[in-house]
Amino acid sequence: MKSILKLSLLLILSGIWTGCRTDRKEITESIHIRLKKDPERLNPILFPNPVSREVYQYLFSPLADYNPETLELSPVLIKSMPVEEKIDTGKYAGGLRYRMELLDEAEWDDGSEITGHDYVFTVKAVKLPLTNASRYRENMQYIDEVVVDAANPKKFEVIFSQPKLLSLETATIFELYPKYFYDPDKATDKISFEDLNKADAESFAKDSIIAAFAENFNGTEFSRSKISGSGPYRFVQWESESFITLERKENYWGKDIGRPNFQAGPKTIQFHIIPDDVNALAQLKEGNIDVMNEMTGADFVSLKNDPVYGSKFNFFNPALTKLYIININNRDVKLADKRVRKALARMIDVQSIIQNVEDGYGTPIAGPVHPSKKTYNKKLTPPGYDLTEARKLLSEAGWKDTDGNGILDKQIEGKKTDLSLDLYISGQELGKRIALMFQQNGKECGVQINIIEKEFKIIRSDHLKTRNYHLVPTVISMDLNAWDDLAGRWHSSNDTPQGANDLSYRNAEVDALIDKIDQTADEQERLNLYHKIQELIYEDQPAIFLYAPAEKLVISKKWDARATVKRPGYMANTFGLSKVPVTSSN
Amino acid sequence: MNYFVHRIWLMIPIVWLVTVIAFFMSRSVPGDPVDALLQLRGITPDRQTGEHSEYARIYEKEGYNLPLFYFSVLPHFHPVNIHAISDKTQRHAVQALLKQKYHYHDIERFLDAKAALTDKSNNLLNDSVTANSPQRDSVKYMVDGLRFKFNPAEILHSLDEIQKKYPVKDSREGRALYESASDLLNHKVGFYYPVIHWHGFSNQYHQWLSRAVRLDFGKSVRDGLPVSQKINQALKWTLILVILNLLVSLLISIPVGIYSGRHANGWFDKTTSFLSLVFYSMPVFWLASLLITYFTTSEYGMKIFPITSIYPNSGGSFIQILIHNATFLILPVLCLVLNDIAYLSKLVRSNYMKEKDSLYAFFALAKGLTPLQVDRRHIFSNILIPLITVIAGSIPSALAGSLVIEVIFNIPGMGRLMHGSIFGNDWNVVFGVLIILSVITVISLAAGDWLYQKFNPKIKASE
Repeated sequence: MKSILKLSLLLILSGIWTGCRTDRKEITESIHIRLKKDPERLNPILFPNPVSREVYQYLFSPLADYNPETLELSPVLIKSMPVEEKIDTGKYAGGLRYRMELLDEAEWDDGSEITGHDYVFTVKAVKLPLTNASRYRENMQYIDEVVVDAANPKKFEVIFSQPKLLSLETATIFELYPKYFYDPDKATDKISFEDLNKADAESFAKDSIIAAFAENFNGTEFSRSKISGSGPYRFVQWESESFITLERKENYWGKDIGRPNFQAGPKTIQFHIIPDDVNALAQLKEGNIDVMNEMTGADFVSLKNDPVYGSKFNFFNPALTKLYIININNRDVKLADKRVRKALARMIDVQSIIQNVEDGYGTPIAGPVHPSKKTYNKKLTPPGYDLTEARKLLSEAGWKDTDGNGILDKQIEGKKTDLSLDLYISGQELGKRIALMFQQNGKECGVQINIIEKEFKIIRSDHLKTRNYHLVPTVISMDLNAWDDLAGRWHSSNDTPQGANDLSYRNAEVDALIDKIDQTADEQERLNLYHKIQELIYEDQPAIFLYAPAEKLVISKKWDARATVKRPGYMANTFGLSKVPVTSSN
Repeated sequence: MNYFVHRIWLMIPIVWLVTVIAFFMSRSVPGDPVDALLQLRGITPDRQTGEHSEYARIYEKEGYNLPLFYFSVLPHFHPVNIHAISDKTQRHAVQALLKQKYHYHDIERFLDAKAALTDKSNNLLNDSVTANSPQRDSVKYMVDGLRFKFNPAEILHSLDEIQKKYPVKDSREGRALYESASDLLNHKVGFYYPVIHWHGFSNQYHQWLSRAVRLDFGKSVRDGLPVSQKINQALKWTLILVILNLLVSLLISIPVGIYSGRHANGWFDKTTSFLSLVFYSMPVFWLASLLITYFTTSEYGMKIFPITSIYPNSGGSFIQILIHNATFLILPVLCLVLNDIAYLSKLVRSNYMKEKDSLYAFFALAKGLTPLQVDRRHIFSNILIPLITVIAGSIPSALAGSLVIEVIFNIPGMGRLMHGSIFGNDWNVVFGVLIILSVITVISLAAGDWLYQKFNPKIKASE
């Protein structure tokens, strides 16, 4: 008995002792950021997924990037944004040219200058069909040649053989790689742009030097341990599933230039990989973590209203460039009538969902463009929650409850069909709330909603891609670029198992307008096209547009921090230690 | 010793069977490892599924196009190796149609005809009659819709619908599709027999096994690190958790059990019985979340334990790291221990009570020994014998229990590795972890058996 008492006393004492120890908090110049998942690999052009971008944005700099405040595409490694030039003569007549010049100060970690040859190398690495850069290759295949100025290697021109939407973004928004570091044997010098444009993987694979380069470039080393870029931070250490440490480069060439990407506030940036939310929240409260994003609405609000901790943090709600929508299968016989789709849209109380799931942080939307963008059509108002109108639309579409079973029915192709719809959800909080609300309100209007829960990857492959569904809530994630690519989801040519038009939406007029965007250079005309497309889509209601959520981001008051719409919602390198001392709980 | 070797030898087939079962289970789990890899590379899965796509390239490079096993037993109308179809949509369609008992040759012809019609839908509708017809768009929409249908009856129905607006059956492609779909329906396989195909050593299982016996489990699909390296890093933490858990629970539960047994139905016995029932019935993950919420922050005035992540390789040798991180292990170990103490102390208590009433204990007392001497010299060793089997058996369950704990307390052990790998479709790692865990289980069970017969003279006598 005594031994138990002693043992438990010992346990508690040791706990108190360690609890009082000022631990890692002493290194005040480090910022501690929570990551939900291990980023797995840090090689921006091979693995441009959002988790790894949170880390590599401090290690690599692109040529241009969206300014976190103005959201305009602004120069980073180049002196100024290039102007689009039409090519009238020669091999590339009808194409486009961008002349760019890199910053004079810009240099790599070994002290050598950043030049156009590094640009050539990066483009070649992407275009080489043996590397795993398939994501960037999709767009950069249209870069037909890069010519470096012989007299001044900081100057170069980028040539597209045909005009493409977002060609400026394609030519500038990617991380520049140091050639000396990733290709020490200069294997890419052997590759000409002419060969790359043929994209013949087999002939490249036969060349042992090129194949070896690709193998190395794809390999683990260059995405796990040998990582070097022109960003203000240096990669120091990475322990799988545990932490990643970045360190500020002292005497960094870019610190006085005044561009946000080059700022370096905290001495070290420490990423903590903590999948569990309860654990992460406890660590946040204890000051082990300074930054936590993607919080749940409930945690965010309870922390904000907490008498002890609420005052220790700043709370931010930058808009996220994503939209929540419910996909409707436009091919389904029951849903082919737009009146039915409009009725469904009126069965969801978007405001109440924003209130309950997001604690009020979100903006209802009327179409497929984010409300913060200039292309957004402000004249359209979201349909709103209106069950009377929904019932009216359904009866106009010919749906009546003839057999008194509480579900509307209609003769379709000679068969009596009940208006019973399958809604697939993947078990996330938002999906469940929407589903239950849909089911409840549907019942009142005589529509039966069957909720089916599956893993999202199964829903995607077995239902969305095979058009074997009625309703599926999904997310549209977009970039900050001014001109969204609407073709992917709303053009009928992408109504294939591979394409992104999972709704099977088809409107010849919309198709024609989308095709026209590429050829329209005038900004006002383009805006008109976007507005017109949104009007047409609004009228067709091919999907139920819900809302644009806001990020729920918490940053310790220890840091003088700002939030941005740019993902992940903050740029830790722009933070400075705040002047106001923060009292610790200990 | 001979006995131990014999046991291990017997268990090799079991480990092998585990690998085979796990292998086939992993292949029947929905979710595609190639898709997972594409997603890491920032590509939306299903965007690329064609024959010459990035999907197909990775699929073939990683060997997913090989047959699964050395042989296969399949109905006669199935293809020899369905995995050779590198186009994902095509493969899934074939699988679905095979399930409906259509012959593979008919399926192939049907799918080819379908692709021919949908691919040519643009040319087809640009003839002089339809190009300007108002029906053109709706006809094209319907023809494109054929891409999403794989059921021949549905296809025939759609063709009839299209025919009403456009004479699709008069075109070569339309006719071919109509005929092949009708053929499919008419030639449903009614009677079938199994055929054994021998695939030789060029199969997915063999490739994996031949590397696994050399302890090379391949590389993680996600981060490209060798699986053995990942396991090596993770195993240390899990073993520490498991061993600490066992030691602490034994240290506490044996005295508690004996004391309650000696004073059965006293206040101490009743309190511990109640508490152990409470902790035993509490799910570990809930207990863990409660402990973190109440005992690691000053929110509830009980900031007793520290909370941070474990920092492996934070400098120094493993022992130094362990000492540095030791205080962070208190809560997770406590979580596991509370659960085990409940069970173990109950066991010790009932064993004690049984032995106390036995004749030899009675005789010892009659001989003039004090109760304490009887306990120490005679009863104690008899209580321990049944504990051996329990402990040996509890090592595997402790490994399983640490899974939840590792995820919640952010300890980079085997449980978290397994958890992350299963959700990331990283099967190489899952297999590696599985093999190591099976081997540990087998060894601990064998060790338990061996220790049992070593300490229990009754078994030795009967051998």
